[in-house]
Amino acid sequence: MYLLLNENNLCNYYDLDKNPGIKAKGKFKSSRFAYLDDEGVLKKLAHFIDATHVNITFSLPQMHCASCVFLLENLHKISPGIVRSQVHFQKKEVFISYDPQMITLRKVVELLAFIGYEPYISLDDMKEGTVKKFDRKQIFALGVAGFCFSNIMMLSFPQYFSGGIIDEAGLKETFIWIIFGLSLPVLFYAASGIFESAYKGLRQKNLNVDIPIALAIVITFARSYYEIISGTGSGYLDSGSGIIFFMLIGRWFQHKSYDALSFDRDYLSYFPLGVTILKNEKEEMIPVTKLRVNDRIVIRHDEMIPADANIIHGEALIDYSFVTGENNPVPKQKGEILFAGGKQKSGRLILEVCKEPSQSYITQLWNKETFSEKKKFDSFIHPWSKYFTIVLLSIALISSVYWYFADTARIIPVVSSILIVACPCSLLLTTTFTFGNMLRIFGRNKLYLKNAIVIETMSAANTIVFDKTGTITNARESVIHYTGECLTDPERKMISSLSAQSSHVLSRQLVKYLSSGDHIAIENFKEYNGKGISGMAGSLSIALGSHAFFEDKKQERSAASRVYARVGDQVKGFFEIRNAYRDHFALLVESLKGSGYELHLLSGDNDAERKTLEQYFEPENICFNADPADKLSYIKNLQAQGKKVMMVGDGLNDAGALLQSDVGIAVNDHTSAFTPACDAIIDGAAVTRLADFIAFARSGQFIITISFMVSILYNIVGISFAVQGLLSPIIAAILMPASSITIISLSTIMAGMIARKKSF
Amino acid sequence: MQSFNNSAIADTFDEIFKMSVLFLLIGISIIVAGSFLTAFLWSVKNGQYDDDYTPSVRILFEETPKTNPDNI
Repeated sequence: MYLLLNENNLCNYYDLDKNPGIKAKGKFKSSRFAYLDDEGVLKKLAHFIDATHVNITFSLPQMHCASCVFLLENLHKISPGIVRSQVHFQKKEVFISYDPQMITLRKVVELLAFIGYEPYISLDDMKEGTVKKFDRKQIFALGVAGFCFSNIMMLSFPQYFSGGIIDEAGLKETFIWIIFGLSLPVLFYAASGIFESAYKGLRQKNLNVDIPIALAIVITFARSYYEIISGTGSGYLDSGSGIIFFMLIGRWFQHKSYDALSFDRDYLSYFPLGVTILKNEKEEMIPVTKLRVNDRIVIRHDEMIPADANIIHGEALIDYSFVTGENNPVPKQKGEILFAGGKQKSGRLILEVCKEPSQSYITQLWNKETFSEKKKFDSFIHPWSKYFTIVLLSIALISSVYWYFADTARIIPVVSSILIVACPCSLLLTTTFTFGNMLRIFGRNKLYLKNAIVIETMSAANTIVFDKTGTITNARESVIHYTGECLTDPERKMISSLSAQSSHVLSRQLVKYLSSGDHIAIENFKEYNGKGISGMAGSLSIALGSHAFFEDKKQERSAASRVYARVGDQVKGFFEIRNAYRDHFALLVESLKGSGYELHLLSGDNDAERKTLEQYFEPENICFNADPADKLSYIKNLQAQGKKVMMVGDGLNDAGALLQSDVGIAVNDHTSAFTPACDAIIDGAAVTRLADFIAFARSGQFIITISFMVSILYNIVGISFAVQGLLSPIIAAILMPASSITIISLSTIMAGMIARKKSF
Repeated sequence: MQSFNNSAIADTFDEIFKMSVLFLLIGISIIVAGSFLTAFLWSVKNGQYDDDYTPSVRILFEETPKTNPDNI
């Protein structure tokens, strides 16, 4: 296998090498990347520019296998202007360093596009110009904490084993002072993240889990430093730094990121970067950001309209599926306004821009409140932890009252040791490790969560809203049904051969459906954009097309896309093409209903499929012809009724709803495709396992509850020592790591067991 | 040597020697551990943890002679 790949690659490489003057051809027009010649664009995209070097990083979503790495890292052999290229496979990025005197940015991009890796360059990159850097601080902190913790522990052992009596002159003091020195970086460097987030929480008056933890750390270290400096004891620095170390591990473990996925895209990522404008009757390519009102732009077949504009010339057939979710392209006449985000499905168009891209309809939608409003910050603590804090504080209070009468001098030591031993760290460890495990298990099963909080909100949801097209239907598969006069075999063959001539989506689906083997020759083939196709098979004229193609009436409202077929001069019947529902969708609905979820459906399409859908959804919970704003307000309404809403959708038309909902899950059929801003991304094939995913998220709460009870047991033991004033450093040093390790292994094992039971 | 015949002096010397060995060991152990920590921090800073997948692929590719690939 490896040899095969390697051979393929080498062949590929030699092929390329034999054609020195590589020209961008075939798949794209050479003018498409013309905007890259613009100096300003280069400056925004590159990290570093000087006379002989330009460093730049491209995102290549098409990268998928080991051989891609080989090809991309050998770019310097294909084109001498490229000095070095280095791939980061998981991020699907390539770093390229080239010599601007030998090759231009445009040539580099064209080369990449030519070998099949067209870089994804978005307006986002242009705007920010920032490079995401791997977060190394977390690993630094982990390393430092691990080093200090293990050395402190080692230096504390002699004392514990000798019962606190070390006769050697000066040895005990030396140990203690080394421990003191080692604990400083733990407190001031490794734990700084915890203090920062606690401080932020305090400032926002938001009780997050880091506040009690920061408090416990401060008390532990303060008391230990006091004991060391006053010479009264050796403190709890070993258990204190141990806890910080374990917590850092927990955070690192929970922080599972998917490099190649992005959860925070906005409309800018969808728009084309360059646009052709007409200036003095000449076509010129400029970056979209430079587009101004009254500019005349040229839109070709399959290009996206970057700004709201009037039609000046040409026939428009606009596919707004991107904005509205409606599948069928809409014809538009001269003088009508086209909204940004639509795709031209017909020939060349000349438009006059009437609003700048940042002011267009779709952008406005994005700028609505929901989009700028940040999601409320979840405290992310188990509900019991509130009681835990209350109980803990009352125990501290009661024992301080008791010691006030028994021995006033011991109040402070006792209270502080209660707070030290009962720190809520074990709570945090429970959640971080359980959720970290679950994130990984979800990821293996193609549900990629943005962060661990999503697991909590997912299990809290009680209403699920689905989008239709692309979500519960499979965009890549369709069901075709023929109605009309029976077709004979030669007729089928003719129709199939005719549609094979066209590259239209419907024609291709038709060919697949008819699959009559070898095709016959079609002469005089004509394609009428947006209407239909015709041709001659022998002496017989045949045609395929929409209803309007054959009769001058307005297109009737049909259930799905219909393609009428004419053979000779008689219309024989029509093929009805619908998107197929995903496999097992009925099962999913059943099991979700069985678990008591309220299901809703929002569709941008017309109500043609109402009958089919009513089998799955309550009639009053189905909403057709919903535009993006409707979807958004629909979700808002549900939330106003106190429901926790999970939205499952795809595409930009659901973007508002995804963001507004408590959990927005974007469906993605190709890993290389882009998804709108959301909380989670699910692979199309995994959609029908949603019920299992939710059940698993719910069982997370169960795992946490169990681990929580175990940690409370440890706390009871520790506090019972502390209230009596008997908490020696050795007991703390045994209890804390023991409880941490028990909880870590418990949550890992339980999550694994439940996942296996659900065959994840 | 004469001074070792004096038991009091020998005891003191022993005492000092025993103690300083421990101090020396502690010092060495911290230095060794510290050098490992430094090595670790250096490797992180050097970017060795930034990408944990691509290098494993890269190592499998054979080096092709850079001079003239058409000879093969």
